[in-house]
Amino acid sequence: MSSPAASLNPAHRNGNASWRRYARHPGFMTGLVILAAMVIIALGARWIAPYSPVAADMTNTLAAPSAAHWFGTDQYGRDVLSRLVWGTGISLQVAFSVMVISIVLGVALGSAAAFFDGWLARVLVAIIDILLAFPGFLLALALVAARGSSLSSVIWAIAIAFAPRVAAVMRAVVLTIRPRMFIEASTSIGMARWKILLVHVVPNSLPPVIVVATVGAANAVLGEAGLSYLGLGVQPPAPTWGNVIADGQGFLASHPMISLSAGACIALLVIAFNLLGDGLRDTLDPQMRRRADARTL
Amino acid sequence: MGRYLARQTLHLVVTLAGILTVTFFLVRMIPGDPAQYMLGDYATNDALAALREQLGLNHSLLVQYGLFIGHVLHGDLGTSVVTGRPALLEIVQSLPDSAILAVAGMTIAVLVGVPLGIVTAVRHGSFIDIAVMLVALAGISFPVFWLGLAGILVFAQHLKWLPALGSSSGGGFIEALRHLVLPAAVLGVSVAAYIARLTRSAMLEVIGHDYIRVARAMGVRESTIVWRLAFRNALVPVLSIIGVTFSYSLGSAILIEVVFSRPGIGTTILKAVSSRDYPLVQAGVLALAVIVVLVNTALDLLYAAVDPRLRTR
Amino acid sequence: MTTKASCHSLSRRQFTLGVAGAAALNLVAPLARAQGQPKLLRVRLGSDIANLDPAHIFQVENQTVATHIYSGLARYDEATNKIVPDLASSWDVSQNGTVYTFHLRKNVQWHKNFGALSADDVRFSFERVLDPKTGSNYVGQLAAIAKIDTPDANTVVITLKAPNSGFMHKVTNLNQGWIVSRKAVTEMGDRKHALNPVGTGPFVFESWTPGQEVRVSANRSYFGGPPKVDGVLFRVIRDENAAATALTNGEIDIFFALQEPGVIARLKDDPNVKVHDRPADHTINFVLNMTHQPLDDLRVRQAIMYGINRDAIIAGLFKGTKGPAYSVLTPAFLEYTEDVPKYAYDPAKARALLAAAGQTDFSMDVIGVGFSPYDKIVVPIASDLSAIGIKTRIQVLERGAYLQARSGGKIPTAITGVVGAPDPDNPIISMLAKSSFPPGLNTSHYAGVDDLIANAAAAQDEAARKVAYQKILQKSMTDLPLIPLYADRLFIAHSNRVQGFVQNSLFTMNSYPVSLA
Repeated sequence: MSSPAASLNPAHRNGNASWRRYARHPGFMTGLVILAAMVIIALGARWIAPYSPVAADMTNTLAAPSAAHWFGTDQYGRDVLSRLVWGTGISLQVAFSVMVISIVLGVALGSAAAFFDGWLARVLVAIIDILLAFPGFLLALALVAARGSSLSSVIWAIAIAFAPRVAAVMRAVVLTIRPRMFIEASTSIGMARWKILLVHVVPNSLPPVIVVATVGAANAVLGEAGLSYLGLGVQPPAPTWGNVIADGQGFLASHPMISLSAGACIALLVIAFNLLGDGLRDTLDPQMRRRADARTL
Repeated sequence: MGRYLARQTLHLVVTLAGILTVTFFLVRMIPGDPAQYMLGDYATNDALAALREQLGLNHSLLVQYGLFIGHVLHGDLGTSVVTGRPALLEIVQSLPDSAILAVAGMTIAVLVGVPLGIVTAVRHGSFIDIAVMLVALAGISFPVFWLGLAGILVFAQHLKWLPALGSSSGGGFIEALRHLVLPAAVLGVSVAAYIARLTRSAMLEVIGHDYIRVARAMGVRESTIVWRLAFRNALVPVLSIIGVTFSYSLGSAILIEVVFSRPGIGTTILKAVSSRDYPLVQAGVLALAVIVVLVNTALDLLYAAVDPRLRTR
Repeated sequence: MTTKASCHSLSRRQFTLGVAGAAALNLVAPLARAQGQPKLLRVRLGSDIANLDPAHIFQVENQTVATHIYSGLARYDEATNKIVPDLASSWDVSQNGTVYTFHLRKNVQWHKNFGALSADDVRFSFERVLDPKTGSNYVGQLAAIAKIDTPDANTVVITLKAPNSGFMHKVTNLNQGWIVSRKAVTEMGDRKHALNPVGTGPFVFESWTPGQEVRVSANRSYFGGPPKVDGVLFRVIRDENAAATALTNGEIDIFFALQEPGVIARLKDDPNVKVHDRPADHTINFVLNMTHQPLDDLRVRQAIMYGINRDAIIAGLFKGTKGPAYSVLTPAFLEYTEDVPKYAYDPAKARALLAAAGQTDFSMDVIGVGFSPYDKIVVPIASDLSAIGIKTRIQVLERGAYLQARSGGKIPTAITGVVGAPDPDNPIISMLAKSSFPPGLNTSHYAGVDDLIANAAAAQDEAARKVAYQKILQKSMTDLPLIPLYADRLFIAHSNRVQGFVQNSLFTMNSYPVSLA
């Protein structure tokens, strides 16, 4: 059983995060399975989707679900299932791109803000606070309006809107690790500060950042959907899930399957990311582990 | 406390200045211009040039920025290009509707989310915990506008219990309330899911602490432990959760306003973006950011009042 | 330990929140909403108004509100489209057809105590549109005018440069025909007047809450007698499903600009709702930029015409709620004819034409506007053109970006419809005349019917007019600067409370004859 003192040691953290702990966590495994399934669907869209996602067929518009079209067709006669299948790739692309970009930007900004002293740090902290003041979705909206609606501008807009949150988490973590790092560094042979940052601080602070990143991925999928709903996201005829909801909204009363199925897909992917995040948080947080043991008292 | 207040005020001023600057340049990045929008399909180049001159769009960016800051210090956020009325006035007029929605939504969210978070934390691992957390997971995973559409479908169209529109047109207080229920409920439920999850984490964190185990071992009653020890110590994180979700709920409110055709600052900003009404977009984004900062500052002061340890940051 | 105090303060805080919230609702809600009036007609608009100045007005929401507020020298009878007197109780045309003398009604009052209508106001209104400094969209409509005289307060004499058989269309109660008060416009200034208009119509402008609603109240001293309702509230509800639910729930009375086929079907099934429909005065057209290679080649344009399955689009996408279009005019026009070159759907022929033109491999952007009623049509167009070998890319631009691109004149294609009066010059001049090159709607840069248009204006009688316009339609459908996609149909739904409603073909509506049961 781990003692409180030992859990402060970053080395211990890494050691305890063996994959067996993850495998025993049902939420984490569920999320992983869902995500893996989505990735497979996205990669194999060409073979999995029964029809083209953009081929319009005026003779078969708004068809009810049938054997030929499992989720029916939309107002242009396009197969809804095929659009959902192809949309998986776009949503995953948005989620992972946003995750990577916001981690890179946020880690850089947050660790610099925490690691350096003096006026530079204060400016960086002020920048993080200022950006955090804008509601995330609003900031993404303004950025997309500024850069035009394309897949890349949506990704960058959501990533830039989310990066301050990563930065804030990163800064908090580095601030707690910093004192220990300087004790170690003072005994080393004059290693440059930024090297210490890169080699020691960043890897040890990654776990909480990864957790935040899963939140970012979840947010990205929801953000893209919201922007598409407002007409500011990836433009038609791209089969993004948000676009499918927007297209189906006009027929909610008569053909609810179109919007409902797309909404369910979004929810499924977001649930997967949230489960992954929860699982990571549970497994990495020593206090949580202690609590699980505490109940047996 | 005095020094803490002074530091907070300085921090606030710097943040507000930063928000102003970021908003200004952000809005100017939007391509196109209001003159084109106002004159529409038949705009001749002469008419466009004349209107642009009139609207002051011909100055260099830095000059415009300087003028902007100068005006803001006098309380003038510019004039809406479309309506010709002061942008600040337009924003202030659309705030009450959004404020009502936000307050109603947040109230529902807090009243539903916090107790659920506490109960599931206390009954960690039980059936209630798992069931509620699954529902909360679904709540944060479905897009909020989808929930709104589903709400309209079920409550307005099929059951006909509630109106489909987000606002009434005359009819007094009760009518206004009836039209508020569905949008506020959708917003509230969506945010409640967040709050429930975060509150549960915060409570679990606190419950795991030694002094809780000691209290239990000493035979203190469970309800006393939960409310007087655990919750009070989780209070600061819970307040901070409310602060964070408030900002998130403003973003959701924009989508709710569109789904329910409800007036408010979200609709105003969207319309301003599509008509390239720079002053209005600016004023709207500014207003929301300022509100978030003020709410968070108030919460910061509240924490400091509640927990003196936080004053030495 | 201060646990006790904190415990209470928490619940007190939540309680305070609740009370404050309720108090806020109590205070703000009645203030934010005017008390409902006894007979308030509630009309749904699909988007917000922007400008009610007759010299610049466009888009049907603006035109509908303006119809309630302004009058013209003449007006269209809502049902028959005949031109009948409005502000002018009668008019005479000289023998040579160039001098129009209008006799104004006496004692017509402007809204909000701006005095009595005089001939000078009429002169001011038209000169204002013609003045280049105003930058009006409708300069072309009044271009035939040589001079305007006002021999006395109730007589207006308009002299034309040449006889124009369609001149009366230009002075009806739409757009440039709406008469404004010299006093009001000069006192308020153009911009303020555009959002606070003063007119002589059956309703007086009261207020505009941007993005939400417009309110007008009954004009008790309207020269035709006061309206039967006390006021009209125009509510902006973008989503048609929500609007339909609002109609069936009794939250609105009239559903204007009903277009979604599913919603139309749903309302038609409802016994408490009446759905009106009639052919509109406009077609929706796919305009090809003839300066953009290879659209300059007639065979390519013919291929596009043969390659788009317009009947399938009407049946599949619009579920039969639109009509076929063989030219830019619809059956609502007196000058309509189907005796024009027709092109039935024939993808094989389309491909053959492309091959003959040596264009088997070109790509083309199909451009649409987001959030417009016409943003749906780009999808089947692109799909059909892909099927005949043209590589299409759909670009849905947001309205501001689209306007910019269009006025630059460089976009390869556009979806254009000219909504408005049953005046054939409207669509023909706007889309096919050289004077309408961008900025203007003639994004095809077509100049093939200008002389025929002049001939039509010079026509001496109805029969001659019909022949002249037929020639225009035939030439334009031979040269194919644009592809007519469909003829629009107008749908309006209202609850059974609404009596006396008459639907027009202009895509506006007038609440004047309406009463509420």
